[in-house]
Amino acid sequence: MKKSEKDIIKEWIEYTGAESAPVGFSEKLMSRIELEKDYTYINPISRTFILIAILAFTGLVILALTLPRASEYTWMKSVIENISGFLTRIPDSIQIPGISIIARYLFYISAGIIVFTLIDRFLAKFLIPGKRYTG
Amino acid sequence: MDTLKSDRYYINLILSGKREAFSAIIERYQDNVYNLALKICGNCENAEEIAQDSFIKVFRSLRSFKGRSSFATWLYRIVYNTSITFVRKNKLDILRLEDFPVDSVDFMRDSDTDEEADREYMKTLLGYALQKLEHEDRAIITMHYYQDLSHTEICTITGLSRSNVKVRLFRARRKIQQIIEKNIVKEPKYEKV
Repeated sequence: MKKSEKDIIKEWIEYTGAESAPVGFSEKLMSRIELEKDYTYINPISRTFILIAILAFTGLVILALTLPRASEYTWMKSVIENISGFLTRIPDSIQIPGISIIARYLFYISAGIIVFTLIDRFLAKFLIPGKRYTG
Repeated sequence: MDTLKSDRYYINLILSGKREAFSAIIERYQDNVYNLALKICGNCENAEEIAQDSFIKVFRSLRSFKGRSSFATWLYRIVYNTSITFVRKNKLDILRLEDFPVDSVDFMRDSDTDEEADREYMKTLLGYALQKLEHEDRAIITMHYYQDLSHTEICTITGLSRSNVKVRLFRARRKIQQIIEKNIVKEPKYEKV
């Protein structure tokens, strides 16, 4: 009776056998495991992202607080007149109100990111225990 | 079922802080894990690295193992994903050589007996044929034939559908046989296998 492809491959594999893990594999791995330290926090958001979000939020707050006051200075008025004179030609509807709406939304988004990050860290601290490789 | 119990026993020990119990898990699965990684990546050094990284991943995420599948299936899934990611990241290609590069005489020289030479020659030829397959197909062949996993288990590990696994298995088998028939030295001993 002619053997099927399935049987032939099976016989070849049984005849040749499988490879074994190299000598010392287990010991090497266990020494790596020993370097694993317990920790109770997995940060799902990168630290850079959090820093950028905080910086953006702080920057917006500073801008919101200082710009109106700065525009009261004469040097600032001349700067606005000389450098950004083109703004005077933009219709009123998209001049100052437009910018304030965008700033307001940016403010809300930044505040949202901060709140989300804080909640995420709080939950991660208590809910996701894990291990970290420190070797 | 007994294996699952035993695995669970060791997992509970590890989770209770006895990390040395992980060595029992390593001892039990190291050969299968290494073999699967080796068949997918085709290189001993890379296979060892993949196998080590897979076990570390398992150790780190043991707490998330809920027992919905067997521990072995969960472990092989991690090994499979780690291996496939590794070969894609390192752009390890499928073997492009047209002819089997090894002469059977080389095996006669290096082995003590004819049978040993036969076996080594067949092993190398089979390894060569496997390397001519897609990475996913090598994994499926290895899991099915070397580790006796069922179609359902292979589906769970690879994320492929049952029909896809069957088709891939069929095509891979055919291709292996064609490669071996094309390259094998026709001697009575090899035909006896």
